[in-house]
Amino acid sequence: MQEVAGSGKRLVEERGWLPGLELAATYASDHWRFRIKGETYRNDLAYDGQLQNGAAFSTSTGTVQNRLAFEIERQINDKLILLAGVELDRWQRRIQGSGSVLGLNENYRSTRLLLGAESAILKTSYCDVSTKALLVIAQPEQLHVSFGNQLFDDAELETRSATGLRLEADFVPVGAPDMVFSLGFDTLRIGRSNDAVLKKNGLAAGFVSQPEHRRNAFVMRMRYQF
Amino acid sequence: MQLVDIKYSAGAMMISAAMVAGCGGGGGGDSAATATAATSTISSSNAPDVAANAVNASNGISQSGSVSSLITGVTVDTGNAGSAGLIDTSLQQIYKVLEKQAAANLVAGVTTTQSYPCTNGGSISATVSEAMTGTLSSGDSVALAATQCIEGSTTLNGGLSVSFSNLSGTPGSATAWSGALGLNFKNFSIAAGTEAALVNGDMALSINQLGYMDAAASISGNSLQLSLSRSGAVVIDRTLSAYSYTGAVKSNLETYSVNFTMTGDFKIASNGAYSVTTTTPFKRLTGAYPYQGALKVTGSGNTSVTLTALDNANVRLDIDKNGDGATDETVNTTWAALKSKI
Repeated sequence: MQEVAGSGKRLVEERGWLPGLELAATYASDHWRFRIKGETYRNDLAYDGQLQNGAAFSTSTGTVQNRLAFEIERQINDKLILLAGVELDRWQRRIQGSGSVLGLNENYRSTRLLLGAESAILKTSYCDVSTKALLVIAQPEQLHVSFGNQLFDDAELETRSATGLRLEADFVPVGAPDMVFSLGFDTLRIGRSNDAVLKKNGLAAGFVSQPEHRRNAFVMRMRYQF
Repeated sequence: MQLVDIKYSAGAMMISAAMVAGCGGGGGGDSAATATAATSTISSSNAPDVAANAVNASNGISQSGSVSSLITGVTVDTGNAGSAGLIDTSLQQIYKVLEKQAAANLVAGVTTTQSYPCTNGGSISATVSEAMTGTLSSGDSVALAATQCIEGSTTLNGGLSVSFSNLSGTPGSATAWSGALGLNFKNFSIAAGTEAALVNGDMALSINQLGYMDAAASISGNSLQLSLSRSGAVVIDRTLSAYSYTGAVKSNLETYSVNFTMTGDFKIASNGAYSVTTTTPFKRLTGAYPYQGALKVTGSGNTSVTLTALDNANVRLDIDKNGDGATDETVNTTWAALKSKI
């Protein structure tokens, strides 16, 4: 994840592995499939950024991402499936302070519309390969900010609508058709929020905003279907 | 934090002292002519007013008033001995912001712009960029916006940004240090009493100080609009372009030269473009009028008026009414009389 200033200068970068768990239940009927899916990922990411005054600073960010999705699939033919869904995304950042440096806690909530298609592209003697492409249309994130040592009062912000892309390739071994191995790439770019009033003990103390941020992820999954 | 306070406060006084010195003594010796095509004729009737405006504009980018006030920009002349100058006032607010920024040690995720209440009302919002928290260093910058910020008898409004570069040594009133400041004024105004000064434009300020009251400074910029109002009515609205100032101070002897082109609305019949060139650097003792020095104001048709300091009270105006390079008329007057014209 990167946060970028209006000038294009990179302010913060967080990167690392986010291991997680996914559970899904699918109901199939005729050419339709209905799915409810939950995902959770968590880990500490490396924070390479700065303080509010621009001084460079590095630490770690405790990160939790949870998603709940409702998806509908319509099989068009033996090679093509159309998909649509609604996804609820929850993202927690716990940017750690260190010494005299104060940390920051951010909680993001957003709702997304998913539209796309899945296509079987290859059948070999070893595995079947299909690809999936989803357009992700995200409503503005609702952001709740808490400041370390209660430096300021908690703040509420709303970011911008965003459009992203989610690509995935699935590999199903011929010898283990209940297993699915996936490689994917997610990208979503959210514009800078408006300024919200920053308060301290209820009194105005300035302004706060969430810079433009870009959420990118390379994904590896292993699924067992039963 | 205490050390930071001292640094910032000393820095402001330091620059103040350096600029005061720069305006009085020291001989810059720089009298590079920057004649520019002018559009207004200088005559017997308007020469004193033209000279008065040139002196007033020169004072606007040099120092006048008390030793404690630093002026590069417009001096708000309220008649009060301790009237604050543009740069001094600006830097005092910036140093306050640097000292008070509560979010300096807060990580960035969201970004904050803090506002600070002013002593007697209003506020200033500020964005600070520091490589090392609590220490001013090259590359740092501050951008502030004042909203009816009242400090004592002075009210500030508008925007100011300052960048610091080439800092060497520790800024202080008696230390050896040097540095450069880049300033940008956006509808920045200072009001005191019935007078208000409005500034728009850019300014590059460079200081080299060897010790207490031993310093040299230079100021330059592309365009600086200076507007003075009294009781709500605009009395001067001029723009200085391609302007420069060099000066130095040694003990209480100040030497300075100024060069610029001025356009705008003056208190004279012809509002046009005049080129101002220092032909002999001015010298004066701190707090007094110059006792030596000369500047030439050139209007259209190469008409001109040359102001020469005879002593720290009297000046001579040599008027060339037809642009042939020869003096056609001489008028003797005083520094105080010229000042009263504005």
